[in-house]
Amino acid sequence: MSKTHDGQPRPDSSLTGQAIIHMSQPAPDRTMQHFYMIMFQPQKQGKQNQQGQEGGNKGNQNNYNPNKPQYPPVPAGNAHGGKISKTKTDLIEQVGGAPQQKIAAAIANMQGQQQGAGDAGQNAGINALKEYIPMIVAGNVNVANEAAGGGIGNSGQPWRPLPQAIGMVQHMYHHCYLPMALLLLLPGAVLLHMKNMCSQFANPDEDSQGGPWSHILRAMIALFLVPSTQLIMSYAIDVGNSMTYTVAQQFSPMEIVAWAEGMQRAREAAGKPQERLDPQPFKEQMWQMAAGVINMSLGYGLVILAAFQLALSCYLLLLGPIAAAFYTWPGSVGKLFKPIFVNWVNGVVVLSLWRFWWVLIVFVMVTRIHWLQEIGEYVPNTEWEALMLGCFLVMMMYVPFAPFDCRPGDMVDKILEKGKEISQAAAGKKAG
Amino acid sequence: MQASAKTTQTIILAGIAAIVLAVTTASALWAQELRKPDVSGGEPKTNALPLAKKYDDDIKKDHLDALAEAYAKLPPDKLKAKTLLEAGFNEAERLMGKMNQPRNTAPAAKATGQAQATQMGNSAADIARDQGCAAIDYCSRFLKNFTSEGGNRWNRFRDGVFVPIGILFLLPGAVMTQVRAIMAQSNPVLGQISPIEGISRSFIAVFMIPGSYLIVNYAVDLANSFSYTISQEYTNMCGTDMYHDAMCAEIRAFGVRYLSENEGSLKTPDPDLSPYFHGIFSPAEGRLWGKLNDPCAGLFLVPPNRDDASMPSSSIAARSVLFSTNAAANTGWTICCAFQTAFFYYLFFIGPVFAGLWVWPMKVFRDSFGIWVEGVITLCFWSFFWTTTILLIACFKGTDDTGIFMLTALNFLATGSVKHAFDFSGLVKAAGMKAAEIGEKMGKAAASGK
Repeated sequence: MSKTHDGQPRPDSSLTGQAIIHMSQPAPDRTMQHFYMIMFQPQKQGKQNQQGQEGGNKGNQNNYNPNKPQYPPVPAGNAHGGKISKTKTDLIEQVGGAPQQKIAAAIANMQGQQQGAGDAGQNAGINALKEYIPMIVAGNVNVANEAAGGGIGNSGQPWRPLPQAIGMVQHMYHHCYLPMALLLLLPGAVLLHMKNMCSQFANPDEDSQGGPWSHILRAMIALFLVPSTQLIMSYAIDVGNSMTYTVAQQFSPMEIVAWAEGMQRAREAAGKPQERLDPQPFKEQMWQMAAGVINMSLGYGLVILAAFQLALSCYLLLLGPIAAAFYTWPGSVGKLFKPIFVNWVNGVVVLSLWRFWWVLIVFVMVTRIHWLQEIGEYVPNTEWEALMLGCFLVMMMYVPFAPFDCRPGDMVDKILEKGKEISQAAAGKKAG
Repeated sequence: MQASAKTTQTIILAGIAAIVLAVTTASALWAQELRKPDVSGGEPKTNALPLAKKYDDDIKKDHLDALAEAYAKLPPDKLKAKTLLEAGFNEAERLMGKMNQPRNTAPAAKATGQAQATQMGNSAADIARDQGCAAIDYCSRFLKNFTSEGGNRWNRFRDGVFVPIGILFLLPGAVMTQVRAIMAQSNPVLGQISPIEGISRSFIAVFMIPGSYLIVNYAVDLANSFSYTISQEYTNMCGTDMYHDAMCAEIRAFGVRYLSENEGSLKTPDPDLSPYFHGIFSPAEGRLWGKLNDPCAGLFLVPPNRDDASMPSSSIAARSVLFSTNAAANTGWTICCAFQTAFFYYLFFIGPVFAGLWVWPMKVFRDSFGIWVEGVITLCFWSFFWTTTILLIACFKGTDDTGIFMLTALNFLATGSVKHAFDFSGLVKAAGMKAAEIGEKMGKAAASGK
């Protein structure tokens, strides 16, 4: 825009904010306990409008007022002027609306959007990586460790440190979930005993293998398991963090960030606009967009992964005592009851090791780059490097969640999906 | 003789080698020639710059410009209607030519993509927030124990229709099972079966058919009891309402700027993307948010330097996908709330029938009652899982700038926890896959410019 345009005082939004209201809606199948109504007013937070200069027509908003026109009226009656205006409008419609006029613009628009998308992806990926690789390497918060909690605090404060949230979770664990689990022990033992008695007449299953006292034996075991869930969770997170730390000490994970930044710098140098257009060949723009997609996936995958790990750690900590209490309950109601505790332990172990697998794969990536540099064969910013990164990304997105299933065949689908994404981008489907 | 034959052989081999060398060299040179950009129409021509130049040639830009210059220099007394008409033609052609020139349209196309992505994200965030608050509201309400009123419509139909069906199923099942048990005593092919299996099963089923009522009745009460206990303990702990705090967390995570909150002009300040608070996810969230709004904490920040038009494309792409992912997750959550109630109704009616089928010798019938019990118990625990998730949402409110990353995880947990129920290892695996999926969607959104 011109300087005159920018120099004009700008109006703030001319729209009035309407109140946003969240309130309880009818749901007659449920009994309402509280009627919730939360309301907030959108506010005008733009710059305050100022009286403009005469040269600036007193601000953009005063340019035209249909009730009080500021432009002098033009006398009508000039037949030639009217005819010219009509013909010109028709010509604009015919010339401007011609399909041939749009072809070049359409191609340039698509390429422009691809360039924008590539930049958005690259920069977002770098931002995410730069800030969060250190966080991932730092390990998961040990939500089961009493020292990690920092009291309860005031839930109405605008900001509270994370230890307060952990402290609230631990408080709920001790004052709500543990007692709840202990209460669940007794009915489970009674049900198991009833089932064992009844099954003497039918076909006894594995619940009966403990003999007539199996309900008491299992209740005693569960009595110890219920409080030990905190210990299991704490040890699992500590072991996971320890393994992550050990691997992370061997290299500098920030080298991946440097790799991504180097790629982006090279791209920006090559794509410096000439006449407001990216001078690079179209295929380069497409490749850069694909690389941006991969980098962004990697970066935000990390961040979301960290959030998931913390959220699930709290969730599993709270549900641990309940899972342990179900060890007393009969074990043949579908997938329910007795197997739940073993399943819980599996979940805790897999969850705690997420960061270890992640860091391990990053370590492999960095080691490969170092090794190639040592033998003098490392060529950055090539198609091969993009393919290698894509493959490591697929490993990162698959291995931590099924770490003990080393089946490369299962990952092939994911790899092929990546190839398909790139080919779709080449077909221009992504740029529309 | 031998020497001359050897010499001839060597000459022939040398000749063949020379021919092969000549052919390969020629083909390589030819291929190289073909790869030259001006021959193959290759790289230097396949970018936007020649496209823009070609467009200028196509519309005869230089000619139109020269005409315009000439018309501009005509003195007013020379202007005639014909000249004015021709000048109008020239003006129209130049105007449309400039409007469609790639140099002018490509930057606008980028801006259009960003504006669309911003608006799509804002609308998705509105849906995510509305649906999140609605789901939490539904979860705050007790399930009506429709079984407890004797003689109501549910009990009348169950007692009058489905219990008799269950009893009618019981008799033939018991007979068949007992026949099979008797046959099995003398025929080991049929397996080791108690000689009174039919009788014992039918005896148990006689109690189970009416007892299925109690299972649903207790399950609904247990679900309500879980919710009450957890929310009450939260109130004891913090002195505030857990559901209200969780709703505020959803509002805070999905605070978008409305039209009245954006400046509405092109002159927007450069963005300040630094985090406002000091949570572990604050730096990442600082790059995304446009408004901080927490009604429970009295927080309302709409900084001018976070105007929608100021935000970089990377922020727009990332938050747009986060918002749309949460919109889908939270809509799924509200649907699950309704589904829980609907499925309880269905299970209440079908319980006696499955209890009657438990007597039958076929595995598919015999297992159905166990699966029914599992279904009822799992459904009752949905309330427990949701209340736990809401508890975590309330606990983590205010520990970051907006909390959108934790909310993304917890909103997924709300639906993932009921899908996987007690299959915790499946839940962990699914959560990881979901994180990867969201990351991939972000990349795709960035790629599509939306």
